[in-house]
Amino acid sequence: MRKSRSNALANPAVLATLALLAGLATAQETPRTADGHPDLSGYWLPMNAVVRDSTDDAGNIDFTLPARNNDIGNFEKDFAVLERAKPNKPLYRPEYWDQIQDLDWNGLTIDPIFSCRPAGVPRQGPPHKIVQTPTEMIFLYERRGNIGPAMFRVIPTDGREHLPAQINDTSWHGYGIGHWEGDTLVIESVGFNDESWIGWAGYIHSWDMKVTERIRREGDVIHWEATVDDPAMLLEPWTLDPVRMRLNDDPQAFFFDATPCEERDAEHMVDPNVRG
Amino acid sequence: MKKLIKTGIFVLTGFVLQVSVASAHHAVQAQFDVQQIETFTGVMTDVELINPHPYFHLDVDTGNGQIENWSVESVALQALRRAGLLKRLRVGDTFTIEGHPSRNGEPIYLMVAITLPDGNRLTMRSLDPSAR
Repeated sequence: MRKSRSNALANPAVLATLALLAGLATAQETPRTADGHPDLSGYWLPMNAVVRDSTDDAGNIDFTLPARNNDIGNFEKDFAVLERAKPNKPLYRPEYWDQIQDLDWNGLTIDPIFSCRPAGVPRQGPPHKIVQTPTEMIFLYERRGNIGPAMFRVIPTDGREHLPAQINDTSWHGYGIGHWEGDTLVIESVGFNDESWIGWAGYIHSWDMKVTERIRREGDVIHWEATVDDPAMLLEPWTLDPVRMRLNDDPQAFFFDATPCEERDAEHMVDPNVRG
Repeated sequence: MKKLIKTGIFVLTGFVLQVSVASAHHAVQAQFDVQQIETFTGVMTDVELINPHPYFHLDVDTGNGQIENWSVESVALQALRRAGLLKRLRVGDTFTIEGHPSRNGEPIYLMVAITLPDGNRLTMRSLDPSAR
């Protein structure tokens, strides 16, 4: 065995393979921009992105939906169970508990995203494409899932502060300003409306919400998390479950057109209290 | 397995999805009887490619000489796009629809399958995630 190993290391082909592996390891290192910061630029995909259609030789196409007992009716019903079972919940001031519970159970059509309004920040999650310059970050969001619509954010990183016109605005996505803390990009956003939700289970917020996002890149993965400060409604800041994204290394990656959204189901629903 | 469940139904079907933050539009049983599947054939009169659900509208001969315009709620627009289907859904062509009927009796169906004029059939299947 030992002889074999020795021979292997002396073999030019093996050495070439080791050199290749070393090169791959290098490729996993976090790339940096000229100013030394991690380079967050790129298309980003969910870690567990999957393609769920298949086409047979004849051209027939299956769209596959995982649903317990093969029952489509279970799909979104189970989604609701899982959402409500999440241990990480915002802790509201007691005077809001009745309202939150009511929105959770009866707020299907009140949830802004049901009627095609934006998910907003932070519910929108991490960006799907990042363009990084020395003085600002451009975040682009594709419509993915029911979290839409497509949108963008321009986030200065040049040391400026929020303007009164931003602080006093009531917007869906707030106004973000970024700075680097070591290798972590920290974005503080203010100027929110009180219409967006910060979570599925009826989680609302006030005008005075401040959102702090933290993004760092490790190799070809970015880690995103967001903390909501809203002392008018929350007893303590709430940090959403962190999200990881992986680099989309497809050189032909692109965004599909941002098609408008029109909600038409509400008037046809027999039981609007079935959330999912 | 849980992660597979945590996504929107029309979203999930057929393309890259974002499990972590995506949510559903609504539970389908709020509007449709998912225990029943009905089949009909009609002539496409309108294709509405919108979010969160595209709609197809078809003139259907209800059997007594009457032509009625029925509607079909499709799988997600992005799913249709990624499968390259949009230009195969032409007004004036004849399609066969299999769908869950509305609980309130309106002629609106949740699409389970559509058969194109060339015979290709597109299906939306439900597979038990725990069986994988």
